Amino acid sequence: MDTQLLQSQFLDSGVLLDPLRVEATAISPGWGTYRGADLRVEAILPSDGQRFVFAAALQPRSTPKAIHQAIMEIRFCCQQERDEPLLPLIVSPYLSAERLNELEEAGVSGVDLCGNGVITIPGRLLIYRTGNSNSYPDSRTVSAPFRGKSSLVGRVFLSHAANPDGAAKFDSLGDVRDAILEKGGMISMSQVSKAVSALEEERILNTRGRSIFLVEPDQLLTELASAWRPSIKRKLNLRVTDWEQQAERLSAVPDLDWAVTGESSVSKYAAFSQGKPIRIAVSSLSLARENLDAKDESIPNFADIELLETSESGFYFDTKHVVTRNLFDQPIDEIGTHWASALQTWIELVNGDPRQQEVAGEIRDKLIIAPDYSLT
Amino acid sequence: MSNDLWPHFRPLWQDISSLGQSKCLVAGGYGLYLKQQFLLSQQERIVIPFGQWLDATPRATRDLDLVLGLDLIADEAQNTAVLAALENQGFAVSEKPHDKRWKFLKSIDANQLIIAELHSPTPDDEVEHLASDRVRVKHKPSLGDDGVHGRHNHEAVGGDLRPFRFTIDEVNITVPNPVTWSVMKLVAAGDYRDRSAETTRPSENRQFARNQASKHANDVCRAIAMMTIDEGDSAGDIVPAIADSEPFKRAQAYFEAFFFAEDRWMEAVAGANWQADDFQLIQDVLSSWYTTA
Repeated sequence: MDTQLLQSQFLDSGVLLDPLRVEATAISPGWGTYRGADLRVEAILPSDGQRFVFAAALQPRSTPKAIHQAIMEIRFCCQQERDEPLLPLIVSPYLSAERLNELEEAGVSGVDLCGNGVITIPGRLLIYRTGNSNSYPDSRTVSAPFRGKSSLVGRVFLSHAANPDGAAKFDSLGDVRDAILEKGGMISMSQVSKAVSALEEERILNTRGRSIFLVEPDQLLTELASAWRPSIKRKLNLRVTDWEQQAERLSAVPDLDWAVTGESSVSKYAAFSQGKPIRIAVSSLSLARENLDAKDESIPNFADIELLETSESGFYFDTKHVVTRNLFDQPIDEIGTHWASALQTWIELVNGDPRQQEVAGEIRDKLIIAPDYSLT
Repeated sequence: MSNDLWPHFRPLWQDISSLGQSKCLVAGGYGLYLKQQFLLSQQERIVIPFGQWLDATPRATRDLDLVLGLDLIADEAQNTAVLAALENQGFAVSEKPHDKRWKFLKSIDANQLIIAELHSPTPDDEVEHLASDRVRVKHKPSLGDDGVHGRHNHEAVGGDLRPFRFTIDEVNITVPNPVTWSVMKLVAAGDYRDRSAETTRPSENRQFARNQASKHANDVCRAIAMMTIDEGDSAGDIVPAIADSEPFKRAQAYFEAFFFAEDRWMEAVAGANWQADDFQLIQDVLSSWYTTA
């Protein structure tokens, strides 16, 4: 949606936020001193005839960053000395409850085209309405930075945030990509660039010069978890006599991505037994099956392993550095088993059953605060 | 009621099984109940974990169905010892001619009765000291009132193959392998279902038969759902060993009629107790035995 369309749809409605009616509007030309505002909006409260005059900024993008900037600008605009005092107002296609709260806290009114809004006039009026769904979903993000390959960008920042020697900061887009490749992800420079922009729009990342920082790790975790909907193409249950030997076999297959899923890696991060079968994500079911010494099992609960064919990048990312330690704190190589990362494990558990969700809480604490466990 | 049976079952079972544990099985609803109690206390993997059962409440029963090994009936001393064990525990032989010497009754109060039924599989022709007819398997020559008979249970075929053994409260218990159990339950369900369709029978009688058919059909599903991984592996040996028997063929025919006929009878009577995928899995397990045999 562009500004023109937003303006015409807003003007056509005739209502600011029920019961506040739009009495008169003027488009900004000649408002030299109103810089930052697009419209002068005069509204009336029909019950007692009170009138309020707003300086409205039209913001066709509803991303957190766009709304945040619009709030700053319209507040600045309204703080300028002028004959007629003006109340700050943002108009956008959609305002989520989080954005409405931000607006209210900033003392700025905001309305959208979906029927949500907040009108805040200190000491006189407060109207708050939310819950209407977004009829303009393209106004929210420039891409889907929490799913598929794009999610690797957020994941690599979090993996640094969880590393006591690392910082959730990269000096350039190239460094972000290099870190993703190092952890087994495949992503192009343009995909990194788009995902970083999208995360910036969400105000999860911030940039200074070429450097990129993670500023909202909690929000990033929440978004990654709620966007987790892996597509599984095929499944196969198998009986194996020696799982460790099979892991070695899989590791020896060129061109095969494989990893134990987070659900089946949970014992590496928390005192929790998931039981069999061990679920293993593979990029090619037929390639994996060919290379395993196993017997097909028709009863899922009798299987020792379950292969899940999927191209979901999250399964295969950051899996190759799992090392456990013996009693003397010496690292033991786990014969190349690709256990899921703590982050992937948490994402799957938080989407799991109530028991798994409970364990997810324990793991979350280790994802952002520097961890103390032996996995690095 | 099933739990209430334990004080009556335990001493009787201990006495009978002390004669030779491998020679006796607990079948029927109470056998399924005991196996379920045991598995609930274990980590053992079964076809459908109890957490997925939509109705894991064991069905109530007042019957003890004990399958006696043929050698137990053929051996005069052991045969009479079985009778002594029943009488010691307060069971008295049923006076109905049809039930005589294989059905025993115990009154536990003015209104409640426990029934112990003794069953036996079909003997091979060459077994000494055994005689059998349509209804019963008995010692030859007759032991008169001093011995017991087994109700001739053709469907107990293969009951001696890989039975499932477990311990509850320090009591060792043996139940049939799931293939034999499925044969017994499919045929029982089928026989009752056929009876319920006989229009010459009184409606009350037909209703009873309908209920019994449904009960046995649900037991088929439970027997499969509780199959352990070792039992699943053993089934591959048991099926070929009994596939040519008449009871297995009858079970096969009932399996096909119950699951694949237009009325989808099994789904109608038992489907609601299982998640759709799990019910399909039960069907698949049975299908692997009855359509490939």
